Amino acid sequence: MYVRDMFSADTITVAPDVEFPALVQLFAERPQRIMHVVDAAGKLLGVISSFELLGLLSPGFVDANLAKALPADYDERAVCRSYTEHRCRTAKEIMRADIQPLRPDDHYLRVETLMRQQGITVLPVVDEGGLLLGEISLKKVLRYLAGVCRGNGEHCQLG
Amino acid sequence: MPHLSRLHLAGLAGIACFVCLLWAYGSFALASLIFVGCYAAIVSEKVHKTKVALLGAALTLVLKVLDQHDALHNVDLGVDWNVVFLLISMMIMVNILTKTGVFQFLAVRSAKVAQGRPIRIMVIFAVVTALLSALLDNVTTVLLIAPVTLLIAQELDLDPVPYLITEALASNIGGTATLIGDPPNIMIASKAGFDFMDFIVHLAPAIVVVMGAWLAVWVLVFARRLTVSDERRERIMAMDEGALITDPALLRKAGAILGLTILGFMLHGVLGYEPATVALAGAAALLFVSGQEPHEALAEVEWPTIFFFIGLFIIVGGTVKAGVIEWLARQMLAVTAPTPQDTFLLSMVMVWFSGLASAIVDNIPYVATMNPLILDLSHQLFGSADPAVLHGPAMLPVWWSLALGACLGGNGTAIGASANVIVVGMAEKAGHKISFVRFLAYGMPAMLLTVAISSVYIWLRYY
Repeated sequence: MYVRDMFSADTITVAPDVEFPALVQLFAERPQRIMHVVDAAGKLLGVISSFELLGLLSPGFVDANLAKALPADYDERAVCRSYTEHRCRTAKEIMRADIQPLRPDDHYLRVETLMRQQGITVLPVVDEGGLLLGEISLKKVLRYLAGVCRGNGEHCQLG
Repeated sequence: MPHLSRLHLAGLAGIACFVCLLWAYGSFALASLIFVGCYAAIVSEKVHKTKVALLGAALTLVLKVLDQHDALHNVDLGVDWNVVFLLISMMIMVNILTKTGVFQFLAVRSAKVAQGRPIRIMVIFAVVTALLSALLDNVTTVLLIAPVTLLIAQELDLDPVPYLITEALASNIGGTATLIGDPPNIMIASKAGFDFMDFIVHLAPAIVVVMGAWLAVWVLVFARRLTVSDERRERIMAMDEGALITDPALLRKAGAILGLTILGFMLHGVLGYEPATVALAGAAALLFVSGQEPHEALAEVEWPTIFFFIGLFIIVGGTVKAGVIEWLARQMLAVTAPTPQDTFLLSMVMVWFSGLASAIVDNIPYVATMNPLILDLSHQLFGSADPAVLHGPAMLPVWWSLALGACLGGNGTAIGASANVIVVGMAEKAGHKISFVRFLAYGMPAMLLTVAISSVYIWLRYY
């Protein structure tokens, strides 16, 4: 079983010069968990996950314990301040460029390994030239494996 | 004949020099090359310093400059296990204590004691940082204080950079006061046989004076620049520091064990224990009562730092065995011309040279080199390096000059001490870049002032 059998071509792609407010808006509206930053030819440059955007919207120096000491209005003020501060940052500045993508002919077991190594829950799938083909999540893998089990009821002792 | 580039020729010349040196001087040349090469690599910061130290140590052993038995078992030449276990034990204790939230509590309480007034916050944070650094390691202290500082500065709408740099400087100054405050002091104590109270008696008074003078200058410089509205101050006063204590029961137990450990440090000389024994006992007790699994507590020990020390001890042991340190000591004797009755110039050179060197080079390898050098100086001056001589009126100020210079010198530049590097990194992550020059503008005057006061202290107290 390979990545080509299970990845989804339904992705959010953005150009490198898209600014922070548009990225937040896009993320809030669409169900996908990562955005792929691609150049004009569709070549993958990097990815932006909710971690990157949340990191910019919250003050990184306040941890969950320190937050307990803060007055009730702090969070709203801090989020608005961060939003204003980062509003001119572009997708290229925010994205993770170090993500190693998957190829369609990668074995499905490599999906989880790469995700663990890179601390991300969705990975882009690219062709040999680096052009974005789609994305894959663990849920997609599980859904595919469940389908395999259903299709092989006898072997899997289902029903 | 193939065409040789300049690089090839330089490489061949280097190898030729190496072979000639080896032929002429043997292990002396090898030890010197390993030592200088490692120092250069550490200063360049191109490769992690732990990798450099371990490679240097491996070369020292493989090339038989030092044999493994000496490296691991000889107290004069090998790894100083007292330093290694003291560091590991203190790291375990601090990691467990951090989980109680007590440090965040202290920082927020300090800001409220200052009533949200910017200059008071700066002074109180500096004093709290210095006190914590005297008992914990400097890096941990700034790692704990800096996030609260960023928050307070944000709430007051002030530039956090002067505060953060002040805390880095305060942690280096405070750490100078005690045996456990800064790694150079741990190394000096172990090599010279000083106990905790020796540092309290000889260095703490100097640090009180240094801290007071430095903060007075800081208040003069910053008081008018830092002003905020009453509304901003109210935000600080509205914080609830009581909510920060995550585990009051653990805090009580950990506080009691830390208190007993500090008492143990104060009495270790009288009781006949090494500081590492006291720290190990404290760490074991805290690990036992905290309910934390050993793998959790040990995972947070800074193992790269520990192995950096181990590698460094072996490299320096090689230079001692090969006679490099003895040669350096002779050069220093020739320059400073001390006599058994008068080591004043030697002390002054030691405090200033250590200060300037530590502003550029990591003070840990520096002190690892200077420790055996001072022992050798003692041998050459007095024919002995017994505790009676090392703690005698001639050599005592030399050790304290080394400690003051090496610890305070780290304040000079952004790379002079680990706490500085951490603060610069945290500030940058929070969107406040501190350039090398900006740090220098704060750090260098502070370093020159504190080293100058230290040299006056050495002069007045010991000569």
